[in-house]
Amino acid sequence: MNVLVMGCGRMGAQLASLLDAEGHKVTVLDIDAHGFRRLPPGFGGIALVGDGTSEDALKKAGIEEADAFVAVTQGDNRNIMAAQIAKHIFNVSRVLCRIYDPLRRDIYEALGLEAISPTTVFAQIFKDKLLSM
Amino acid sequence: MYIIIVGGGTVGYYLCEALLNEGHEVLVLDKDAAKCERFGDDMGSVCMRGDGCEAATLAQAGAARADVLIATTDEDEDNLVACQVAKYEFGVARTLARVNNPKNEMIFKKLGVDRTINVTNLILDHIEGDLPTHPMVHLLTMMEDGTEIVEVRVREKSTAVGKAVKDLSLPPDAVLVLLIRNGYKPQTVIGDTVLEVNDRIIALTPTAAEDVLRKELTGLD
Amino acid sequence: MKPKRILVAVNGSKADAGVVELACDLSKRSKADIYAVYVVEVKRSLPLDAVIDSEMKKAEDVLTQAEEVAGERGCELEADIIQARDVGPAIVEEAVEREADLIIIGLTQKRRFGTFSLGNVILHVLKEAPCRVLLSRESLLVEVITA
Repeated sequence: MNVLVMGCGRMGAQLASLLDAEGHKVTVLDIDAHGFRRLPPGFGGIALVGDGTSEDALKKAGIEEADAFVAVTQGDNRNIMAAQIAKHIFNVSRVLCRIYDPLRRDIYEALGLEAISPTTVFAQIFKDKLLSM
Repeated sequence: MYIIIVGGGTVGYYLCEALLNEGHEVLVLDKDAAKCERFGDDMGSVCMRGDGCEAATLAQAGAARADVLIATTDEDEDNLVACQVAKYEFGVARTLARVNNPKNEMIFKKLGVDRTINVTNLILDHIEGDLPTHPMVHLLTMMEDGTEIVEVRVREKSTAVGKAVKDLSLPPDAVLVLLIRNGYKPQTVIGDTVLEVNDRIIALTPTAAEDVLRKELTGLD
Repeated sequence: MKPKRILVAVNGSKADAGVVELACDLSKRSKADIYAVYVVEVKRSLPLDAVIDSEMKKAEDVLTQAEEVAGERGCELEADIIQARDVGPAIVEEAVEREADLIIIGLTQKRRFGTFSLGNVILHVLKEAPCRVLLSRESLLVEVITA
């Protein structure tokens, strides 16, 4: 699979290296090259500096050839905007994004965006762990 | 009308003032307490502290009864989300977004924002309007369907000089409407109209075909 | 202190009676007029002029109570209900409109999030009122007895 990951924070870097290790073609996009230090030394994918909410930067990062797009920057709204551009402008077949705010996640899920809220997921995991002790 | 403005920066501030003067009910949303305080000091209870992209804030702001939401922050993604949440979650009839990157105008429209305002393009339009020698001037943009009314000056370099309109290779949806020629009354353009240097043509064109039309009539790339 | 026009802000709290009594006592020497105002805070989800029956009823009860307290002290007051988005600015505006030279406002001991807090309303009035402001804090004993 050809995957474009937007945001090279802990989550983005981890995801990119997992995909890379499994032999997928990965491109990571971040507005700050500093984030790329998180990629493992043997990372075989491409790391590019660019703004994932900009159509031009996405094109440069090869979004037109991507099978999947993942938006995991720190900003909910950046992720939402980039994911919608990937889905509706570039017709990427698989688009996934992170939205911390659970309410906002629900709204965009209803609008057809596939989104995960770490807030909801982790609260649930912690609760389950606590109660199973 | 009840108008919600997201973003209490300079744009939001003067917009709020103007809309209040026109007699509208206005509420500004801003995350920054200091900005809200400034509104309170100058205009009364017109600013609420909160994130205008958050559904909870918008519910508290009474978005469900708002007629218009205007997103004026300097972050395009925030303006997009504020408009989308207002429109799809609260059914706000008209949403307007300030767009900082001109390329986002089309994207925003495709994603459901009713109207976009881009300062860069506005300034460009004015520069063109102020320069009569400019080969193509935007007169009016009909945002809804992406059609523009433009004025084009036929230049010497153009291959259209001396040709009848019906023989030009114009974009399929572009229509030449009016011919303005020095010393003559303006006349409607017909297929047999032969173009001369310095003719001014008022034309209707889809935004996407604008470049082809300009090239054809002015000879400029 | 010889006030001529006293604005008393009531809100249905335990501080109301004390504030009205104070206004009556202060008014006697200078024969001041007393206005008691109750501000109905209208949520943004409703238009400012929305009629909220439950709030109106509460406002009327609170003002009737204030009139009774004043009556017991042998003085009269003019009562008024205002609808506004924020209580603080509404009190200040009313004081300006009525040309009040004294605002009396009450504070019940407030412990919000575990710390003492004056609240936005009082802070706004203290900061913005054009005239003198008296802040009357309830005796702690009252709190203890009623609690």
